[in-house]
Amino acid sequence: MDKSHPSSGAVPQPPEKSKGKPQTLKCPACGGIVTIKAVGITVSAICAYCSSFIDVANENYQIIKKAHEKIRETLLELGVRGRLFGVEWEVIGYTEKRDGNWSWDEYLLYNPYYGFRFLVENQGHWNFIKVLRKDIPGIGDANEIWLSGKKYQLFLKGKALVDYVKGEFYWRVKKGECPRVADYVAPPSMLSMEENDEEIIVSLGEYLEPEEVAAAFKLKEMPRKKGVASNQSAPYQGAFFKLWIIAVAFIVLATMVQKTASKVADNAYVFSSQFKIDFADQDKTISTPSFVIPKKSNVLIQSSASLDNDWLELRLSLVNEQTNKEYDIVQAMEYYHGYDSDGAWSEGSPYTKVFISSVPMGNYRALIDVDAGAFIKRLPANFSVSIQRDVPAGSNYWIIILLILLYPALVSVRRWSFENQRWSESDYAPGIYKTGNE
Amino acid sequence: MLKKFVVYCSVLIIMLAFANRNGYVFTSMFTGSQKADKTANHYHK
Amino acid sequence: MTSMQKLTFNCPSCGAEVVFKSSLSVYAVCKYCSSMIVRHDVDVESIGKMATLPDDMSPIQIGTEGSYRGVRFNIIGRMKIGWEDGSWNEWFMVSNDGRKGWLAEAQGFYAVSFEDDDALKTIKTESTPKLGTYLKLSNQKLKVVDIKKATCIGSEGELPFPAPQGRKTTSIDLLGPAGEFASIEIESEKWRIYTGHYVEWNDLRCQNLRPLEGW
Repeated sequence: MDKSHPSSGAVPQPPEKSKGKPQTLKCPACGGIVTIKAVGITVSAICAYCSSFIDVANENYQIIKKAHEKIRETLLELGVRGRLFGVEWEVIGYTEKRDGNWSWDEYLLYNPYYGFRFLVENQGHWNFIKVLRKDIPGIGDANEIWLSGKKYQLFLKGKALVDYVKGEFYWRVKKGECPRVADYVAPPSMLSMEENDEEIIVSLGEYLEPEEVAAAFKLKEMPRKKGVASNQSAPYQGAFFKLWIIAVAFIVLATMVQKTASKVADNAYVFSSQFKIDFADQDKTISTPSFVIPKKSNVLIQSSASLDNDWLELRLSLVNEQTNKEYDIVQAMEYYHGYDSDGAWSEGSPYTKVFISSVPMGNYRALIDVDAGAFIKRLPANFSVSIQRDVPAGSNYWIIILLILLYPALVSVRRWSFENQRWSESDYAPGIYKTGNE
Repeated sequence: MLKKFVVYCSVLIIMLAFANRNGYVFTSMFTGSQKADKTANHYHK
Repeated sequence: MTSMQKLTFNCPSCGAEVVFKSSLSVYAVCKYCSSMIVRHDVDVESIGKMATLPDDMSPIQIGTEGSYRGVRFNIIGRMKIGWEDGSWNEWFMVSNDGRKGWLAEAQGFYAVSFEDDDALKTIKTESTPKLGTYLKLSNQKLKVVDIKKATCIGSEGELPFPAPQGRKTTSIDLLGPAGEFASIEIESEKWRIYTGHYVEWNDLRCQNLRPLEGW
């Protein structure tokens, strides 16, 4: 045993602390250089030259599966780096997975500080996924899962067959392994689980627009989006509820405005009279006495006639005595009734009304010309006419209400159509949406 | 986007108030149920 | 604090100074000659030589400082543990409030845990817990998610028990709904229970990290 005192002779130096760096090894199958980035964590590596699977869990570097395939090109190549959510990630692995006829790409991202993430591309839609270390009971069986105050709705149950792999992985990836999977959505988030005999892996994904991925990894062309992704946000995602709140608030406001207008309106008759016109006087123009419209307002003209299978038409001209400007309106009344095989019937109305909009203040009179079926029979025409000014116009109110509701209604239709498209891909659509085919 | 909707609704409310105050009736204005602003040369017939 | 009281000895193999930064450590690997040294109250003995640890890309090193729930801690030792499907690091840490704990670094995840004597005393099971079952530890119920047969690949720095190469343990991981973490380590018949939480890299706020090429 060496008992030399450290102060005598040369002072032994502690070994130099090494800087962390990737590990290189020779592929036992083809001799090509294999580089491991996640040193100490990576367990399976696929040789970039011959595509053989190498076990790098310990220093034996055993070949798990020998191959002689050429490596496949992928949209994101191994070794490229991109910045997402404030962290730089390096692509170190790629798997192509398949369920039936439809397949998708999964990229393994690595950062030695933050760990691993997955970037998944499916029909042009992208998701950034993080494995969760949380126990979520019922995942894979339940129809909904609550996590961090959000409700995740079951979207699909299926399988994920591993079809092709390249790069390195921190688990024993096997081509042909086929774990069962389940996805739960709460757009833009998605809670997924993958289960095989040994373990269950739960992960949380966030929907990414292709532009975000393209910007992060400096890609020029991205696969085109097809359809609606399970966790893609619906249009007006956050604003939808608020939109309706605002609409209701303005409806209340409009109601108050209208009620005030109704209270304040004069609603005054400026003329009201009954007429009996002899057929001999049918060509005479009736003139009402002069009346005053004291402020700019609307004018409501109502007419009615006692009709029995007959008609009566008034052509009324409201004339401003100062300016000679006139407003012409027609009041057509008719009433027909009788019996037939279906019973009693009636047609037409012996009463009619019309508004004249924004009549300026001034002195006015109305000139009335009468035409009636009675005259043809050489009978007198009986009718009454009333003229009011400053009448609350309910139609204004309803038109405004309709216009207020128009936008939220359109948004609702768009959203419903979007959600329908989303859930048409799922076997677990909530009742209000149509389900996908089995 | 919500802001634009608030502006839009505010304009509608203002239109309603203005119309009521000045006697405008939208249905009559836009359906031509009145043939307005003719200058009469003489009384009819 | 007494736990941070330095204890200085001379390495029985090469004579170099061996400092136990914490009185909670009973084992250290000599920085100079890699001898494994066990401390008994007033003296130390060497139990062999530790071979070089395989390289890895861990950003943590001995001397790294971090935070857990507002309390700073110091990394003073490490065990590299291997099993059938890989390996991971257990970093031994002593917190500023004198507790001894572990920062587990595995598959890009970090979990901080402290030795839990309460859980050890009140645990209601004698046999190895079964995968998928729930176990009551102190005041929480956690799910058994992993059972591994583990072997120590190597160690460095200071540790609260001897960790020579080949030290065999059964390592059981438990998980809670909010990321609660527990670990049961069974070495020959002896049980040790650690409870804590999974943590995000950002929350650790580590300082004095190991340099990494290209990062």
